[in-house]
Amino acid sequence: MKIIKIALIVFFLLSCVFIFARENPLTGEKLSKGQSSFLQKSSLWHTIAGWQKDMNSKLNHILKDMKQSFKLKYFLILISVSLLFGVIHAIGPGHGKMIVGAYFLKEKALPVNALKLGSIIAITHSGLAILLGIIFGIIVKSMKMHGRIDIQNYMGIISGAFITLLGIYYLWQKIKDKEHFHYLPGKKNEILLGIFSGMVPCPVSMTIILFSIYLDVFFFGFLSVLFFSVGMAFTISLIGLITIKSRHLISRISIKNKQKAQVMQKVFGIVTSLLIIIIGLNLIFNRL
Amino acid sequence: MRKFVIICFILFSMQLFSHPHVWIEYAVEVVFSEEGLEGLEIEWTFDEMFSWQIVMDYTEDQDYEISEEESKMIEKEAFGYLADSGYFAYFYLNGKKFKVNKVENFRAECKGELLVYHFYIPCKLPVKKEITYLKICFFDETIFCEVVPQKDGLKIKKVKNISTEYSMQDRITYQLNFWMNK
Repeated sequence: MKIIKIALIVFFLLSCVFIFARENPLTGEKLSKGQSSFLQKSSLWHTIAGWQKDMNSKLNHILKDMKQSFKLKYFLILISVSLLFGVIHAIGPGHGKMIVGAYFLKEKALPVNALKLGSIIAITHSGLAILLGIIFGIIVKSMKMHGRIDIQNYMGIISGAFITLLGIYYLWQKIKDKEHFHYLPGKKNEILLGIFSGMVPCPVSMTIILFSIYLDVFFFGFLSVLFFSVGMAFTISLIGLITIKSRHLISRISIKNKQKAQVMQKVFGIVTSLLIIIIGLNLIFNRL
Repeated sequence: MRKFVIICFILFSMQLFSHPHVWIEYAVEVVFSEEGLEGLEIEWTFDEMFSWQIVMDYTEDQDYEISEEESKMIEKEAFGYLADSGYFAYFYLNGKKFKVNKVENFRAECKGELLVYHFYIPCKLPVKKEITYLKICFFDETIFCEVVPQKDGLKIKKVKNISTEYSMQDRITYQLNFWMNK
């Protein structure tokens, strides 16, 4: 029974690793192969994608309206659509959710840790997009879309390298210690992992910033991305929270036998550390 | 156990949901001649944000007018890469998949503030008296682009001696049947 449960978790984690979001296939040579064809048959998938299209379009129109004149109604629509868009957008593959899942399966944590890690990922993810949006929109205006995508890909490689190193460090700690695991202090751990996972700038945020600079309504574009990030942080934190709860359930399964529980904890730690390494390598090799 | 499986399922499902950054609506016109099937005229209409980015990057006046030269540049830098993935096309002829290797007559234009790609997929095939089944579907397996058909997105340029019928198989696939009249 326990083996089935562990196998289920490993299956779920490994399945997720291979469906990360890729670079824009319209403007780049690299393509992933046959990962998602079954998704295309799903009505729910298209419904959610359709909602995102509507929200993307709404933001485009509302920013144009705000260029014409400021109205409280427009402002409220802008922040609420941005928030909702962030929540739904982060449900999709990517955005460091797998890292969050693996991290909280690896070690005991409180719900507040999920909130912290989710927020750090979202802030880094959108913060970098804002920074790059300003650079591309004001300083390096001549750079075309494929150039911008290339830079995002390089950042993906760097992010993958850092995540891989962090995974190797976790694994080393797990293997080295027999009973006590000395990780980096929790807070530092989360900050590092959050920053590394959020290092690939969000294309949606970047487009909003570029568009708002073009329309000369940067402040509203900035606010839109800010609320978009809050929405993303909510979803990512929720994934963390669900993982913490599911880990708690797993711990309860083997609590009766202390020795078995320790072995299981160790195996779990090694598997999830390996998973973090795989995620990091996947990020690197998908972009090379 | 049940509780645990449900949690795993929720987590697993959440990873699979959509993540598009570009949205495309496609329309197809199937072209027949007296001899048989000739090819497919394709039209892709993009979302406002992607359209705006392409217009900013590739039009001189950054207006929504695309010249022939600009269209060629768009083809090279924001379309040609799709050759590797068969231009998102998943076509099945009598149940057998065939890959789209080349397209012709690419042209980019703007309809209002929406970018539209036009291109032709040659697909010569003699029509027989028996029914030929053609499934037409476009999608991006990287999930970066969401590709869906336009409303009433299939048209047929008919000829007298060939009969056709079509239906939607699912949300993104058309099934077209055609045969030579007896």
